[in-house]
Amino acid sequence: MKNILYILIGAVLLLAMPAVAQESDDLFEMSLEDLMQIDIYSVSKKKESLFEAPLSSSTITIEEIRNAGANSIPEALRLVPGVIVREMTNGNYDVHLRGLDNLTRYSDASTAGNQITLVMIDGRPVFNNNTGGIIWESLPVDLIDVERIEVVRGPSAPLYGPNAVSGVVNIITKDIDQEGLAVRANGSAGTDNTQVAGLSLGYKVNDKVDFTVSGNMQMRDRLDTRYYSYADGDYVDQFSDPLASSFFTDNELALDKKGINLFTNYNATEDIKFGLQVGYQNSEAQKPFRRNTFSPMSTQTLESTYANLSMELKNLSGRFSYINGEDNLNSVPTFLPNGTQLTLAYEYENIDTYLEYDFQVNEDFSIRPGISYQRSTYGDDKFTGSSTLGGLNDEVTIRTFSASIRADYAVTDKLRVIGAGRIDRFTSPEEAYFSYQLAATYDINDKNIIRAVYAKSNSGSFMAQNFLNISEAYPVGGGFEGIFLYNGNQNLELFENQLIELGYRSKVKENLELNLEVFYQVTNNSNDIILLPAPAPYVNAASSVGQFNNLNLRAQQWGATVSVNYVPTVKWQIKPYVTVQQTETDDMPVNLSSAQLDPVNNITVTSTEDNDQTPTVFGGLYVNYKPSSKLNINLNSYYMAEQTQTSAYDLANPLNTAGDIESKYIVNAKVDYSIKDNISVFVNGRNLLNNESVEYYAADRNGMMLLGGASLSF
Amino acid sequence: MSNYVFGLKEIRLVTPTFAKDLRTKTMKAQVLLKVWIVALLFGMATTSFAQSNSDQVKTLFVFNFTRYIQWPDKSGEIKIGILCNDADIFKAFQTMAAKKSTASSKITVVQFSNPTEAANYQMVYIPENNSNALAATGDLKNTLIITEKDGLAKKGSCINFITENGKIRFEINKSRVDNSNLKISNQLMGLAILV
Repeated sequence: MKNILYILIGAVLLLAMPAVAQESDDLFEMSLEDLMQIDIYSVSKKKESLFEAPLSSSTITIEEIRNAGANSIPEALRLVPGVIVREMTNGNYDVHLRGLDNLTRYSDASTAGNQITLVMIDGRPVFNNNTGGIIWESLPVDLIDVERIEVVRGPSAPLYGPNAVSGVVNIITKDIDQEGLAVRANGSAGTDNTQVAGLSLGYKVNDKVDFTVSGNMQMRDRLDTRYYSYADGDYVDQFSDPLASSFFTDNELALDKKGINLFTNYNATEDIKFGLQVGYQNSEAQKPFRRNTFSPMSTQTLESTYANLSMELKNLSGRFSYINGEDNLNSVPTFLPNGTQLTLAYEYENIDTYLEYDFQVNEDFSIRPGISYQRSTYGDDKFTGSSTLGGLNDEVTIRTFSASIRADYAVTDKLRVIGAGRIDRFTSPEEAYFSYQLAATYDINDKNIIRAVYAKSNSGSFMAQNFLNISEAYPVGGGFEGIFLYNGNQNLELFENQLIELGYRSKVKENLELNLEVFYQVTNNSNDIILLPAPAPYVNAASSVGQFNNLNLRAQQWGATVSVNYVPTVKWQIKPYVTVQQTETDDMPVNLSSAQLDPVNNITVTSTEDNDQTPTVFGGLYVNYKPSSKLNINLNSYYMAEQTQTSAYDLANPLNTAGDIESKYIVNAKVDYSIKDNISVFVNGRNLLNNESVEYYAADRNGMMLLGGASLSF
Repeated sequence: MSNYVFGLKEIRLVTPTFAKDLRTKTMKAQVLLKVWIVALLFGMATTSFAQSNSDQVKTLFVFNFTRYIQWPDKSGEIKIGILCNDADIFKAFQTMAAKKSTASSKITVVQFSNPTEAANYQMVYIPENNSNALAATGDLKNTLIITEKDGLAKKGSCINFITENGKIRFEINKSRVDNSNLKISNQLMGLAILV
């Protein structure tokens, strides 16, 4: 399949060739107004700073995202090298940087999600502190607010904070460029009742003050009607259990999300700036996330309100952010043997704050110390009762105190070294973790840079892993009792990742950038729920008992990413990118039972296994053609090699094929036409080859989707 | 916990197993190297038909400027001096001149390095990497100085190219132009960012 990618890239380049001479001629006939519409990719300051960046990073701009026709933030990440993006149901995605996903293999659905990437909006972390995962539909912003998305691959906690274990996704929102009113609107609608819209109204009073109100919504139906049913051991159109049917009442809904945001900026002087963002979101999404009694699929409803205050006072920068919300991660309860229901609804409140000071010691040396504090409180009392248990059955808090320092030293004109360290002290587990990063760039000349990174980072500390607390005893006859008992573990070692990476960037020509990176990562301290024997006096055969525990398994991943940004003429942009990787897991246990529960097959019986959860090859191609200032044509594609995804269910059902994922090639195209300077209309085709293979464990067959719409900006 | 400073568990930079694993991976690294080389060759191959770029676009801007500006000497010939020894930019200007020159309005492009000679040209283009030369060109009344570095319009160039959101924009220093003998049409002023 690698070959197919290369052939495709070659074919596109060949096609582009004859166009080159002709396009250049057209350029000479352009008016000043036309020239001002041309996109210049190769010389912008941002690109240059990225070119010099010591870490492995990529940026996509909103223009590229719009051109490509991506309809949401996670879908846009398919345009970034090194990112694995699987669509579960229409508009709901599972996103991983380079992989390292589901290392324990038999994890229980939500723990297979990405718990090791730090997602931020303008530097504000937005991950779920309960499960540790990213829930993309919980982001209050959408593409209407986005200026660009930056992705840093590899452990980078010292620079960004805990949980930047496999990397960072930072979503940067738009500023208003000019004084006066700024309006942006974008709406598209298409097959499967898919509607995506955003409206942003901004006003820049003067150089110092501006404010923007924006709203976004997505409504999407599923492209499939089936559910994976545990009782039936297969996908079904109708559950055979009538009780199941009573919970899965809306088999059409895939996503219904809305967000509203207010952004205000006050720039008192050039180096004294304040920003305030407040917003609200609510969402309902049906996707495989947390398994219940009947199916891996269920509906998640999320609602939250946030405020984020940021400031720059000369060299001092800081942030204070606050969020509270209410989630229900599984609309379908899990039933315990005595009929008690287990709900995964909870309320939460998080504070996240930091201060950093930038000492510019001299022209070549700067040092940046910082401190930060995070507090997360989660509780589910509101949702539990005599016949309903929660996951926590309590209100619990984790506080994190951190100190960090970063030094940036230009040793010579050509050699730059960055060293950073960070200590995160958690209240649970009651330990401190040290993460570090050592990176160097060496300019061979102004067109070629080699770089090296050595880094280690740990994950954050999450509620469920620490404080899971489910205990329910029930009679099993003869005066005996069974127990359903699941606990967290406050002594868990946090997941860790160590990386060594070599990179090479070359501006082969002013309009051609080449980026190569080779990486080797080793993980440590994986954890999962380990099944245990029932404590006395409960009957073991009638009980279900487990607790979060560390496993000895270590994953080693090596791989390489190659990406090219080529702008053959002002009208063409071509970006191919591919990652090849291999992950091997040492000490992979045969199952997640303790030796006390199962003396034959248990966590001490291990072997070295290839991890085929992460595709060995993934990547894409972005080709943009803008023949005139009015017309834009884009073709982009995304490829993932085959994978075998596994869940806890497969331990007891080894023949289950819900996680056998075929390789998938997705081709998208969008044509955009400006009917006036500020208004354009477009048609957008997603997955035009109508490849219906499933991309995620027990997920939908997502085939072709066609959309049309309009966008406006002035 | 008392065994540790600040509860810190481990500050080993290279764990022994990490180093061992790395050694066993060298075989795989060789395969990877091959992937690199193929990619590199692929990258090199694509350069052979790279043609226009932002320099070329800027030369077209410059050509368009000539249509909106009146010089006191109305001979019809425009002499553009490139104040820098930059082969790429010079070539881009030559391409533009070859395509856009007509019998009645000829464009000639000359490369020069002594800033005091700037007065010999109707237009002087100072590429970004030679921006320091701006100060040495002096206060010229009949020459339009064009630069391409942030902030130079305020420092005395007439027109300065900047990039905004991936698109080329140009700034005009109005007082500088008003004090010269050049006449710039309001149409061009309307498209510019005035500083």
